[in-house]
Amino acid sequence: MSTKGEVTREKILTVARELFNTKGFYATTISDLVEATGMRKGCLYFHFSGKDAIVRVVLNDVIEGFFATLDRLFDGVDPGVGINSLLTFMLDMNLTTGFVGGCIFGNAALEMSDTNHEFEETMGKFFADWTGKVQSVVSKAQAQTKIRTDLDSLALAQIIIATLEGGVMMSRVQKDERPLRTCLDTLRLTLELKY
Amino acid sequence: MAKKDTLKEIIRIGTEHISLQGFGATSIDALLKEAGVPKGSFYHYFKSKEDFGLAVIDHFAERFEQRLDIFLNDEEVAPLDCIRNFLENAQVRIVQNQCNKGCLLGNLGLEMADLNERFRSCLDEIFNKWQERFAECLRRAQATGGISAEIDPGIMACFILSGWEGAILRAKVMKSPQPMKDFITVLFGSTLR
Repeated sequence: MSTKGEVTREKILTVARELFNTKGFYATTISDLVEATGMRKGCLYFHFSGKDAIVRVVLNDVIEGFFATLDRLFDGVDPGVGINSLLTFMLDMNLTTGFVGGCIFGNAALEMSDTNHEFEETMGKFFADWTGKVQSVVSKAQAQTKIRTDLDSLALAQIIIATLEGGVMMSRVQKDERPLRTCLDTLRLTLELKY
Repeated sequence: MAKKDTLKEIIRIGTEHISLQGFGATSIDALLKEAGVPKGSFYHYFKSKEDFGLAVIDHFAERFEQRLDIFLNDEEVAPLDCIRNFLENAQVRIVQNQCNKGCLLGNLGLEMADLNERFRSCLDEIFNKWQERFAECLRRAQATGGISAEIDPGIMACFILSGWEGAILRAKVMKSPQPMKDFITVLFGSTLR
């Protein structure tokens, strides 16, 4: 069972995550967090030394959660099916939120690059690891000819991630699921994905 | 500085700051200091930071349209090569900036879509225009047998624009042009074949 302190800490993180996702990391202030949690400022500072400390934990949590999801999507299934599950997962996740908030990683990467060195590094590593995971499932799919084999696995992994990022951004701007759907359909054809 | 130049300078430096840091983190004070312009002048031209941001978007879109005209309307070149030339030129420009800036509108799309409805609808309109320009080029490619008649130009244009924006974003994070190179390779090597 969690202690009262742990519950409070969790609550702060949940609210912070939501605010970072919709408002952005930069625009979210400690005052926003005070208001959204209904807690006193002193209470927030008891649990975290400041906004950066909260950002650090939130980023690590979402990154960990995301990789756990990827493992669930990819492990023990046919690699073609795994890749398709990733595409479907992205669409479903964004349909659930109504394309509000979009991709927290894309947002974080964008906001952190060139402004905060520590988090820029965190995001750089995240994208490198993500690319690595996708590349590894692409290689497996290529070995079983579930995906085109005439292009190298890294290039295909890059295309998959870029299309997801761009498609989510476009759907968020248009507040319409069609751009992302269209991108995913075209991507499946381009990859010659069998699933 | 003449008045016209002051406005130009504010927009130029503003474009730079917003491209590098995003809109939220851009400080009007810092950019005016860099431009050597007093605060009063800023509010002479713009009612608010929001108005200023929208002016920067408009200015960017205008210059972008000019580049689209140069590359996509090039009658000496096959339609598909027009698109390729445009993307390759964009890649060169982004590399010249050490991949630091990315695409101003793509960055703002991610940052502002849920924060500011005026920004969102403005970006929406511009992206739609760009998409239509690509679609038009793809239709010409179909008419001259450059790509299969089975491809839906609107859908393909959406894929090109979105995927390209995603690749630019990746390039900004990775500080490497590789994602853009890969996108061009796959687009012309397979998607459009």
